[in-house]
Amino acid sequence: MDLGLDVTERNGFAVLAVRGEVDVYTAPRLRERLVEMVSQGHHQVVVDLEGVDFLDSTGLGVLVGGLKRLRSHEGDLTLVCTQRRILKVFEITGLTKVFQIFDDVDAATGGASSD
Amino acid sequence: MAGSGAAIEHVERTGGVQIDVPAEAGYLSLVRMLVHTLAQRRDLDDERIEDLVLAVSEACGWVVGSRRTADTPRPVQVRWSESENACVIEVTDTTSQDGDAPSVPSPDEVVLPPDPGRAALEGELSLPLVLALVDEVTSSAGPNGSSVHMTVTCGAWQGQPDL
Repeated sequence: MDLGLDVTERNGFAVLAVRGEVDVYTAPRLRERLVEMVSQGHHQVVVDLEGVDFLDSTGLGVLVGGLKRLRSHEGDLTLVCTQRRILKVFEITGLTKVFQIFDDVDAATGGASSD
Repeated sequence: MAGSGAAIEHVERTGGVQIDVPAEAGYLSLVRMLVHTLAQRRDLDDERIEDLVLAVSEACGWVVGSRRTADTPRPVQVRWSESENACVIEVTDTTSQDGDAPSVPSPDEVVLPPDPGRAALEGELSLPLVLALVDEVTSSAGPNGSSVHMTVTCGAWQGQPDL
């Protein structure tokens, strides 16, 4: 199962574009990538979930872990997502109160919330 | 997926189909594909199908997670059965046999966590998700292992069953 993890930089943010399915099998790769980004000094991270086809509770745990790690470095992790099926997972679990979720990368790196 | 046509044919002939997959995380995508294919035949909109696929994947994940330390894990058994207005998916951990306590969580004890961030870190969001995504969840323990049963109500067959 392919999981795409591509990092670019925009406006001082590191943007991690995730593609494919994030589940109990692939989530460890996402965790490793986030840990690597933090260790490389990227402390303002945007995770772009627009290319994600599937996200389970393990993936949620990895994203919250990334957020916690970044906040311990005075940083932040925000999300980009407009897909109903993925947003629903955040809404059901109450994680919309934990993450800032933006409509697109421009908004996430410019600071405009979609809420 | 290879074999999905045969699975559909089998369901339409017998009202159910069962697959056994190794209790390994890499096989969850296969289960998801099969559930998606079978659910598409019913009068379920895309969102309900995605909900069902996620619920089944989460339930399989409980079994896979609980088997990580087993020396000789048995397969995860996924059984799809359907009636005119409902689909029932049963995920069975065949390793826990002979009266072992169910390794699946009990839906009766679940409440939405007050701190979802902490719950996510501790892997406690799976069951609340499943409970929100399907119409009914029950669990049981029997001679074949411990099982989670998930039910979704739906409309009639989209295809024509053999007569």
